[in-house]
Amino acid sequence: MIGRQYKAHKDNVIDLFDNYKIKRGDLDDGVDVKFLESRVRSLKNGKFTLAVAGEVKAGKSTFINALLSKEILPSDVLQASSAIVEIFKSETSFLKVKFADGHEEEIYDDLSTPEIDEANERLDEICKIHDEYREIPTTVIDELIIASNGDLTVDEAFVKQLAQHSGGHILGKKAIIDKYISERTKDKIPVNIEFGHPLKWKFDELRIVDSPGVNATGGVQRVSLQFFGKANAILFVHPIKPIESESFRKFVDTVISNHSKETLFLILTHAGLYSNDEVERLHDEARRLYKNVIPENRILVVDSLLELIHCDLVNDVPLQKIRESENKKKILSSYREQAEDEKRELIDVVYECSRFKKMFDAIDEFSMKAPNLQLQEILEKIKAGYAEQEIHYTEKVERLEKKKRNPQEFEQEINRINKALGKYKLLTKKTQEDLKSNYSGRHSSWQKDIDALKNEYPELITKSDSIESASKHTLDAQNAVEKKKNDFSKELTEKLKEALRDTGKVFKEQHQISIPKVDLKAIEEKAKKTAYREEDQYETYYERHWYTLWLVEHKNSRYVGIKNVFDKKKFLGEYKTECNKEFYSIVNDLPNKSKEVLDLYLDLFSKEMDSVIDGRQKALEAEKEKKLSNEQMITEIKDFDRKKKDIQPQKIRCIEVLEDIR
Amino acid sequence: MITDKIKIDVTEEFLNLKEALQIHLKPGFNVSQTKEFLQAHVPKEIVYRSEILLDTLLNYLMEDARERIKTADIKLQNAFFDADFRKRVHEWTSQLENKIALDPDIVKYTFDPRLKQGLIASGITFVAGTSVTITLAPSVVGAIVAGIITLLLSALVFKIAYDKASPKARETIKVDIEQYLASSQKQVSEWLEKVVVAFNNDFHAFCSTNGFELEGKAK
Repeated sequence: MIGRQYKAHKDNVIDLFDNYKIKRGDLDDGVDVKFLESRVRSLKNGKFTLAVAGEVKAGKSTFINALLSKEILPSDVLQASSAIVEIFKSETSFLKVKFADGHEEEIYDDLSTPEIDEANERLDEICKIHDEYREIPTTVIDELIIASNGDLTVDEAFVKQLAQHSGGHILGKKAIIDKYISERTKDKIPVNIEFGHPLKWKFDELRIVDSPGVNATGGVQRVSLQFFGKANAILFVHPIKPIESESFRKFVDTVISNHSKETLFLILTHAGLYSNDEVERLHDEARRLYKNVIPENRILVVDSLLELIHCDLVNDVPLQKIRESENKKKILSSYREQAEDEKRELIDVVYECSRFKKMFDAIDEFSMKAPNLQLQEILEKIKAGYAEQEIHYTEKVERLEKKKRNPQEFEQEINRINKALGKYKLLTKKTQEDLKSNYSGRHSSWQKDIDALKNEYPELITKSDSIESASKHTLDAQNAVEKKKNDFSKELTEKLKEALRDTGKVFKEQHQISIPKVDLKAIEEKAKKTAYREEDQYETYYERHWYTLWLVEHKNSRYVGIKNVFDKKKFLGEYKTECNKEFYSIVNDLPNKSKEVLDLYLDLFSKEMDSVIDGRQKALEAEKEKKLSNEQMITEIKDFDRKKKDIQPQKIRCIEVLEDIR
Repeated sequence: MITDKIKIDVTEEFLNLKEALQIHLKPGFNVSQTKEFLQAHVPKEIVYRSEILLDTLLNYLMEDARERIKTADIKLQNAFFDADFRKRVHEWTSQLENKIALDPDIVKYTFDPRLKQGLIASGITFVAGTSVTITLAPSVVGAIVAGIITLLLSALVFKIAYDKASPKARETIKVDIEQYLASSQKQVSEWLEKVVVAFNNDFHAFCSTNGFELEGKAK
């Protein structure tokens, strides 16, 4: 299963941190322990999201059930999946549904009736849709109902537009659409479903998000785009035959953002229906077809039904019972034969042919990179903290030895260090001013990067020939700005670290003192958090404009008796102008926001550095003044030596885990 | 000289802006939408670029000031950084009387040639149509029909003449924007000159308060 290794590493990191906190005590080793603790806490509460996309009827539900190792979603009926369904592990089954009219419903499993899972049954009920609506784009219609004031008029123009938008052949289905709309009120349309279930997987943070079906033109709802943007991996499900998928191509080329593209997998299902040679041929064909769309190692082949049979066999479900499902019965017979021929256990053959292990390994390897990086950062901090503690104890012992040998020499040494620390303070101030100068003004590389964004995206938006394309470019532009924003504080930390390391090295050689350290990563996060606390507002804009398309149409239909034609060209023009306006307002704010981060950052740094230097100067003065007998000095030396030895095993374990993660 | 350097920066920045605006002024652009968009967008861009230029100028001024006090003792140098001259200048420029305020604060467009052409053409049609209607005065039905036709024709002619004048309207917008840019460039340059004076006064006051005598002239 996905995340098994990550889970082991994470537990190690948490344990190492707990030990580090005890060993460190009140000693200032340059690590902001509160900040590190908050990072470990968020690690404990972190989520790992797999978003599943795919056309309606592509086998998405069966695939999700196979991922969950349990048949939770109804796979034999059409899903009214206009809602996002989030599935995660919980103690008992529970369901939380938010409907389009704002009301919420919560259902918990009644433990007194163990044979009935009330939450799961209600989920079935909500997701099911009547067979007669199979041929109409229910998800798109649901979205229109949500955006309307409850008075949608179904005329030929509406049906035509619906057909255009959904890419389906629905002309002539006016009556059925009309019926659907009259029955489907906002209080019946779920917009968000959270489903907790006692699943068997070990990776507690894993969340599977079932997104509404992609339509034939590759389009998705705005709400799905938000989830795709946040997902650790997006799995696009498509049957292995026919291999060509226009919706996948469009989904990649014009719908999802470039950022989301980087986390995308193409999962070809139903492999168990074909011979191995045929599957290999189709797999090669897919690699060739989508060569320019997705890296070939992210095209994977599976059979969800075989994986479900495997789960049944693992759970000791009798074959008789498994064969009760028509679909399973059909596929099972040939694999029973294969197992007999090869003299192998059926469970092994089925598992191998489901190819789920290969898929899990591939997703794991790719999508665990970022979470593992987080673990590495925490371990690096702990390691640096231990190194600093070691230096601290060594220097203390050296000074105590000196004091024991020659008290006057010891006093001179303290005065010399204190003076050097004063000089170092000025050096850090100069470094700060250099940074301010490097990151502001029209000649800075930072400003040039912003200018490049301003040249690139308005042109792409203005050249767009469709709403979807303009949306995509605006989303890409926002992501690019977001990335720039995040990179800024990171880059700042790196530059400051670099400058301090370079000046510090020379300074250390000249003045023979250890350089005071502050936790730059903690400062970076604090500054970023304060400066950007009111952000995250861009998605609202998108929704507004998405609905505007339909609101404009809706307003037009109010003038009864006059035929109003929707001016697509004019709308596109205005949409692009709005996208550009929004982009300019975000990107033009970037220098100001970055200046705010820079000022806050350097201010925090300056305060921290001054306090560390002052603290060290005071501690040295106190050390100078402290009256100690020879015996006391010997005891203190022994104590520091012991502390130094004590941290060694933890330090070694930290290095080992780090190497393992890498 | 700092003032010369910043003048070059101002010129280059305005040239860049002019170039960047071409994205929205490509052949065949929608006159009404672009006109409305650029009216507020251009001044906003100028204010944005003025801020960047202010930071550019501050980099020059700070570099010069650091150079001039590098012989001072560590205490004074520390005090110089603690005084945070960048912040002081930003505070100074945020005061109402020292703020960059463009006049006018939106692009003023000259009369839309499309409207002019449309009105002339439809006016002529209307006058001609009215004459015909009058000649048909004895017949009430004929006059009503002619009147309606006159009105419809005038509207149609207005639309044709209005659309036909679009290329001219596009040219007018470009000229209006160029003029606005030229006038704003002058205002930004003058504003930055004032900043130089304010910074130097502040820096001199700091040095004399701390008993440091500056040698040589500011660049």
